[in-house]
Amino acid sequence: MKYMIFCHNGWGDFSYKRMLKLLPDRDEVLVVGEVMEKDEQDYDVCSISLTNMLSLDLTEYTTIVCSPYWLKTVNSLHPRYMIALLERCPDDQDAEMWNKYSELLAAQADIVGTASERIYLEQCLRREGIFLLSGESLLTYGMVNHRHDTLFLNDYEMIWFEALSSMNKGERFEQWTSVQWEIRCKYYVDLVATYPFHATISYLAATYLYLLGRSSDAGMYLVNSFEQMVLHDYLDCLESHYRFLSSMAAQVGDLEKAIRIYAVSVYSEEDQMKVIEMRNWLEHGKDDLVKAEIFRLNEDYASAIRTLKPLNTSESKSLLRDNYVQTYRYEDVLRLKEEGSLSHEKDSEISLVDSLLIRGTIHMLHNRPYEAVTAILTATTVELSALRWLSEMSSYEESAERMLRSIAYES
Amino acid sequence: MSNRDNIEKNTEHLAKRFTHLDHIGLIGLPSIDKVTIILEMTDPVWAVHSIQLLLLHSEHPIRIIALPGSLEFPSIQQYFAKEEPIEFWPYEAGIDRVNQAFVTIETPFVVLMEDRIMVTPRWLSSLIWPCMDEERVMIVSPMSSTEQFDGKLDLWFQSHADLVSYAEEHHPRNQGLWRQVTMLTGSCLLFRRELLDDVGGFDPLLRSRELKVADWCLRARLLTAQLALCEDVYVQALHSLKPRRGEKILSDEWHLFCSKWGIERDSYPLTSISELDISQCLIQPFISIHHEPVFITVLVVVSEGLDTTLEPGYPIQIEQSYSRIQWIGILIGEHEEHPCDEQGIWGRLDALIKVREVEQWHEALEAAFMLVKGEVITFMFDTRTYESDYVTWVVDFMYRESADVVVNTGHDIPNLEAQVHIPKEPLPVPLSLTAHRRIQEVGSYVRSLEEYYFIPRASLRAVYWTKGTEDE
Amino acid sequence: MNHKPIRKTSGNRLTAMLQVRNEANRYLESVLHDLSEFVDEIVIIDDASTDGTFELCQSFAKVTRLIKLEKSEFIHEWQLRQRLWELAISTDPDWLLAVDADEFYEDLAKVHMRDLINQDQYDWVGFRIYDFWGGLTHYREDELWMIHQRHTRLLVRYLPDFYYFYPRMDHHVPRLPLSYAVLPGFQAELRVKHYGWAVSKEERYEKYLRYMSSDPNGEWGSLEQYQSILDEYPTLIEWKEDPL
Repeated sequence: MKYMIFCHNGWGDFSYKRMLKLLPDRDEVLVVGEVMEKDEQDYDVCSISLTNMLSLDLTEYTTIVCSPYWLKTVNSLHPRYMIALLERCPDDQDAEMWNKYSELLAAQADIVGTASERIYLEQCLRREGIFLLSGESLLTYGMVNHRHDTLFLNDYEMIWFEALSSMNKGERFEQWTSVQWEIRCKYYVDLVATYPFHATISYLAATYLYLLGRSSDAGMYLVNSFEQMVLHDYLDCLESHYRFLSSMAAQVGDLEKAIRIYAVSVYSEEDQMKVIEMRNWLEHGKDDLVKAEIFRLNEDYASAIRTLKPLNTSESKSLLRDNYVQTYRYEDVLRLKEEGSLSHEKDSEISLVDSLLIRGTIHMLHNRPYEAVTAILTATTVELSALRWLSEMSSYEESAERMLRSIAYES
Repeated sequence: MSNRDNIEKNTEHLAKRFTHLDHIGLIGLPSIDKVTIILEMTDPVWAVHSIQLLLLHSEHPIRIIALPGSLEFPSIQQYFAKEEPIEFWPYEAGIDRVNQAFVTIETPFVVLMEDRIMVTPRWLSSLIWPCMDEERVMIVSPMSSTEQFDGKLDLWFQSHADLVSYAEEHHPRNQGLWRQVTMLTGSCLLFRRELLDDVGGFDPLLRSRELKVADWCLRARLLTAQLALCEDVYVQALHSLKPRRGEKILSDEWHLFCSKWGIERDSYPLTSISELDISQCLIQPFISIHHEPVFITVLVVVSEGLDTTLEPGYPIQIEQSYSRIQWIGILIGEHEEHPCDEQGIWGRLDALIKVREVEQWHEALEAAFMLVKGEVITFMFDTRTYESDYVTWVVDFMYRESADVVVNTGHDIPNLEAQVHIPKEPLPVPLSLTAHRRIQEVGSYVRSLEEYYFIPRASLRAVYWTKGTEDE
Repeated sequence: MNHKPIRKTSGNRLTAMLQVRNEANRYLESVLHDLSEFVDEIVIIDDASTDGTFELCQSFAKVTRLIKLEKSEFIHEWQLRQRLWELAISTDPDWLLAVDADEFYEDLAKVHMRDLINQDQYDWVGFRIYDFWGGLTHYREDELWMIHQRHTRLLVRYLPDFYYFYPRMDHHVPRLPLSYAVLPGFQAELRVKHYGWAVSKEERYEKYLRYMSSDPNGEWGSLEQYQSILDEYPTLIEWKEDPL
């Protein structure tokens, strides 16, 4: 397999250098932009200029993309696979734009990795195929031959290796996600035994148990965390902690309880209408809709999508669409619309504008500027505030241009 | 200077001379004999790597007995030259191969290790030296991440080169640093051959490696043997992302171990073992290393009235890869004299029971049970086909899962490693896919129009495995 | 299926909850009379009283749940709080008012009580407690006696599905589960009169001795504050009842 690396801000800032030695089926590894000769030797990579890269046929390459500003360029190259490495927003970048386009990058990628556990857990609740590229274990889980030496892989390196190997073979790699959750879960559960009064550690133990589908065990860690938060005066935990219990109740199938817990945590009229709606669904046997909605209200979009996907009603498709929108799975949103799955009553003016803006964004990211602008301008005829998307898109393009220029300059 | 000061000074001088001679390579090996290394293989990649390092870093002449850990373990002989001192033993179901390997040992020192272990330079001499320093030392272990107690050391190395650098610096600096410990459970142990004569082999009732080794060490200590931990040797260990067979300690196994050693059952996991007061324990019987593989009885059942097919039943696959089988046939109902007999099986049976009335099927089973000599009974019906390794698989699952009942849930799935799952409640299962131990009140048998069923007793350990048999 | 709303905006029942111990000859009878005017139900745990407190409680019609403990649990305060809480919630209440045996709500508070509970925007109410000193006309206000400068959570909505817990301490355990702190509340400018210190100088001295013997090192409370009980000239302010 040939790999092409797209760093943000050049090789110097690339924080996954060792990973390049551990790539499976490693044939050739090219890095766009300047790389020091010593690093080229140490990591067995070759630098390639932007111009030269653009002249290559990347359809046989796996791309590793470290910045949302590469998305447009990489899309135009139609690589075989796209690996996204997500980072926290750098200090010199606009956070809102960075975060939004990082989500779009993650949504489009075949597999996603990140060294930040916070980003990792957020993404686990948004989509499949996410891997954590950091950990504490000193144990060795695998080996890779590299030049005349054998490199040892720790737990996350081995998991990442296995996942990428499966991906390269066109096989599913979800099982490795669960393996990673088991390892993280054990780590935090053991740590709770040592630090039982630490709110965050208990919370993380609860989260991983929840991800593993073990809500019946997760509950006690969550309430322990909740107690510690309150005892230490961190009172902004009604949603993050208490409401999370509703997701756990939904997971074990106790939907009545899930709704009641959610109802306790909301006060606005809009949220209370949501409670009534869910009660209605439950009365009419629409359990899956309730389940999915509870997940979504707890920002567990991944579980909501998994629950809704097998369903085939216009109601379920509409909820599915909402989940896709919130997780920036824009292509899936459009696909739903094209399938005609969404009922006409739901296709109100608001969602028409949304669709146009989504379409515009996709056109832009796939280098179809004319179509992009047309879609946005059409949207503005319905809703004038859609104009801000034009300025957002042009900001994105400016930032992308700036990054490309700095890479080109280095080369 | 006092006498004591003189002795101390003297010892210091001798140590310095030894270090000097060792440094210039004039110190030979502690033993002139070959060392037998029994390597338990769990992963072909690990095994190849482990053996390569054994060949590279073992200063002594060695004989490696490589034992595959499962029926599906692939051959790795092609990675090694014929002249290398390695014996690749084939897998044998229904028996502890390590005990079998023990039988063939003639060298005074033996190493028992798993393929997860990567040895380091000078590892072997360093492990032998404590046996020379103290004659009661019987078992020696290096530091590693596979030890649970004093020997536990988790070190991270980016590469093998880093590991070797560490060993080359650490081992000579700490040479001779070893101490007596109360328990060893790791994946690399050196022991004296005579221990097998004194204590015997591993307890066949224990399955997980940790408990087997812990039990063995305790039995050795009961006979005043010493366990030594070499702090001057570190070996690296590989770990598996997914739990492997033999890693998990089963609850019934733990109860057995606790009863044996008078340990509180609630004190799982193993932390209590190292604090055990050995003087309060009962003397344990010697456990022979000579065992025969499991003897199994196959009940071949041809029953009238099952299913509505007009086709004749399948021939029974009597050509099985497993050898220790007693064959008993049961004919139920009206049949031609030798049904399904393309291979002439009926003449080769050890016993045959025939009942003309289909309603007497249960009595026929009872009669057959009275003739059973095997520890395990498995059933073959002419309504299914069975592969020639079917009995081997049954024995293998029964043995290594410590099961009381095994049920094949086979649909022919090629290239799929056999999977095991243990259901929460026992279900009625087709008798034609079942095997169970010959124990009291193992369960009940029922017959419907289409099928005979077995319902295991609730408290038994019933294991379901998946690998090709074909339904008709 | 007819679902009870999680938060009712009308028809809420108000249940008072008290823990009492040997209060027969103090303010308890007045407190229970007072409460009977504006609450719907009263729930009481008697912590092994020996002076007829139990019988006194029994004599009030609105006391619907009354348990007497055989053995005092006062030294494990969180257990006592927990018991009272469990007793109170067993009545399936709407709102709970945690009252001490020597506390009286000002008239304005009683008048507004129903408005406070018949809404769905907040789940607890804090009041200002005033420590009356040496009589029923003045309250104390100086450096160590400023409880009325802040609000104390005394009135809570019971939400059956919420998670309730008390900190596991032996003293100074809040009257109501700490978890209410994460829910929105309302700090009412309504007052509660605490008569615990409205007693004679001799009785205040006895209280001081009790505090010093159970907490000589000031582990649970401030030694300085215990000492200030004996102050000869505390700052006292005349109480003025607010017009209705």
